[in-house]
Amino acid sequence: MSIMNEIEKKVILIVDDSEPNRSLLRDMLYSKYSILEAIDGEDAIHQLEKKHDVIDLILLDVMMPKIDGFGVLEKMEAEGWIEDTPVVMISSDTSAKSINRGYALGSTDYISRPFNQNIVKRRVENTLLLFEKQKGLMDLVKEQVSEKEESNARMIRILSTVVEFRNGESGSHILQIRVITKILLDVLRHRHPEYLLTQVDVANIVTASALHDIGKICIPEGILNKPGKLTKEEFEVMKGHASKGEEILCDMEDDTSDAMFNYAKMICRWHHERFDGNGYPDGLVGEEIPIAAQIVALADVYDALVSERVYKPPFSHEEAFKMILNGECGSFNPDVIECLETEFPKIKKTILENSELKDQSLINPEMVSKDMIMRRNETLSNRTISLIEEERIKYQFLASLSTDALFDYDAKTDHLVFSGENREAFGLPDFVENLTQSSGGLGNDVQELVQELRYRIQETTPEKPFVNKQCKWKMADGSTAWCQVTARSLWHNDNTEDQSKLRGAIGKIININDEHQKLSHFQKLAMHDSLTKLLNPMTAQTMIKEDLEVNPDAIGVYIFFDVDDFKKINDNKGHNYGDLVLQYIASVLKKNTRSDDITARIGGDEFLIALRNIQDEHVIKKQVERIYQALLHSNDDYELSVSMGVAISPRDGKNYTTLVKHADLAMYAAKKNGKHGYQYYDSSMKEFD
Amino acid sequence: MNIERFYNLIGGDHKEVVETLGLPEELIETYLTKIYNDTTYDKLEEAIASKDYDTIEATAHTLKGNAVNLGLGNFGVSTSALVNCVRGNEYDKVDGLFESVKKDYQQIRLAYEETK
Repeated sequence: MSIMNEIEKKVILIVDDSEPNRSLLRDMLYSKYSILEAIDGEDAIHQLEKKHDVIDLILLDVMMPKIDGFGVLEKMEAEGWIEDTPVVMISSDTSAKSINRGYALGSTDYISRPFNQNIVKRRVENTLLLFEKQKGLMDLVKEQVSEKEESNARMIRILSTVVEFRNGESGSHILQIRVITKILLDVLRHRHPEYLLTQVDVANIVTASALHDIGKICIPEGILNKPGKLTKEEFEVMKGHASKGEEILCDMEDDTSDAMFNYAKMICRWHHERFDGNGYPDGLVGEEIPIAAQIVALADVYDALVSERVYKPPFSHEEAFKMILNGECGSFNPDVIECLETEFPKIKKTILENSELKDQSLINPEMVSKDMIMRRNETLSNRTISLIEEERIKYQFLASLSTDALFDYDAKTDHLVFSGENREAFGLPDFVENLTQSSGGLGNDVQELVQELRYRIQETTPEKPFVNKQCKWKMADGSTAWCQVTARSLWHNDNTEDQSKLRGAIGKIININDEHQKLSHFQKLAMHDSLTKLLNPMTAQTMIKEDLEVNPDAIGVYIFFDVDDFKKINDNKGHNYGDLVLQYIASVLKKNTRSDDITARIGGDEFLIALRNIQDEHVIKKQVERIYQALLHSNDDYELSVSMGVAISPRDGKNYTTLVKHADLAMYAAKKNGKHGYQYYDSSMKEFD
Repeated sequence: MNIERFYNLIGGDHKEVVETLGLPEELIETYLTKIYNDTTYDKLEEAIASKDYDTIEATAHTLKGNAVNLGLGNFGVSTSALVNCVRGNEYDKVDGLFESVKKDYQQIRLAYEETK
């Protein structure tokens, strides 16, 4: 048996004066339970005093010396142990009389002799199970009741704080009333049982005391918070809060059996009554005033004295105490006054430590209710609507200033709205209904674009909501313009949703045609040789490298050539003529190459051609020959000839450097061969290196 | 100890005892040994001599409990009769009933000694 099981084993106390009987029972039960033994009733009580909270069940013999089984049951009842520990009587005396006596004293069951192991085990097990379930249920009920009480109390605190705030009273007024009421009631209950107050009554009265001034909600604010003395008429209105409070509560709750509510009604109506009949509204005298109202009346007076009011500064606790005892605040029940006298130090101390009291509430009802009051002249929905309206006007204004087209897509309704001054120039309607189902009058291109954007927007996340796209846009006037479409997805940020949900998207379409043209112009400038408009060496190199990277095994032809005796041309005919020759060469190359071939001026009179995606060698020969022949030119005063070297990928190399180097070697070979010709690279050319 | 023979000698039902208790025979043997060594009977005998009826009732009750639990034949019946007689204040019958108790008790002791 593991230690854990040993710990979890239930504990059974066997009480029997006969040793053989105890060992018999022990042997029957010890495998499943921890066994304690008591040799008689006295010993049993002695053991229970020490460890009643660890004993789960008692097997109790009836006939025993000193104290018998019934005596043990009586003691257990008196100590309250019987509530937590079930007792199974052991009886050889199966007369109904003694069994009934056992039941009457709280035993749960009995077993009779001779002991049958099965029956003993089963009785013990059943009793334990039953008790456990009962206890579980009781705990559950207790928990539910206290939960309900807690939420009731919380609602009442909120409600009363609303009243308190409107009354311009300090935030702790209600709390202090409750505290004073509680202290006075606790002592009154003990000292004067004749008032028949139970603990439940005390709890209900304390809770209800928070509502004592709820009727003030009906009093005009001018009177309620008037700094000076009230006129006679005003005071009459003010006095109305007592009966108004009771009316409010009567309207709120029909259930007249709710004790807390009944106390609240009494307290509201009669917390300004005085013991001598000089109070209001009914002028009740003495015991006619319910004790709950009497206590709260005193608590209210005490609190009012020690608190600051619009019409008076706070008095010290000692002053307040003296004023009440002197009858300056009307007469009170002597029993209640007596409670105040003895509990005065405690009340004073508790109120002065008031900050601690505040922390007792789980939520901050004060803040909640203040917030509610702040908004009382402006209902939540109106406030929301005005905020939305404000945003809408702002948005419209900014949209009208924009030369772009704006759009707003709502995923729930599937509607797409276009706006912005230039909406029509983009050929866009103002509204597309059921976007997923219909083209909504959008052109095919736009429809396609919309689908693409919708797809990309769905791929966004709340953290990365942006989508950008540049595309050619067919404008309403038939022209084509480069446009930039920028969109942002919108998400529900409602925390109650498991995941963020796409709500829709907003965005704009900007005409960037001018910028695009400028950009492409500058890009061209940057990429090309200014004289020949062929690619510059850097760009050619980048493009060839990229191409080789993408298609390392594709057949390509790399031709490197220069003009034979170009220096002579420059020297004899001048640089301008030389430039013209170079421009002429460029024009020849453009005519004799495909648009995706690369033609570049590498420097001076050196050129590089890269012919890509060549099918076979036969084509290469023809192509090289054609280019070579095209470049040869003669007129009256000048004959143009070139020397060309050709390298073929992947045969002669797979990277830019190797291929250009080999083409260069081949070109030198051509020159050595007497210029005016071309050579294909072969590995023997290394010797020229 | 031959428990079966023990029960046969005292007119008890060995099989029923074993079944009811649901415990191994070795344990039953230890209970019987405890009862054999127990002094409750001696206290009863003393109480009878001194006519201490409270002690007579208590000790006879204890013996009755043991007898019933262990199925000790007539011993349970005679002790029970003695207990009821004292509770009913029929003190004149006490001596006569004690004779039966004594006879049954001695039978148990003899049987125990013979079969142990």
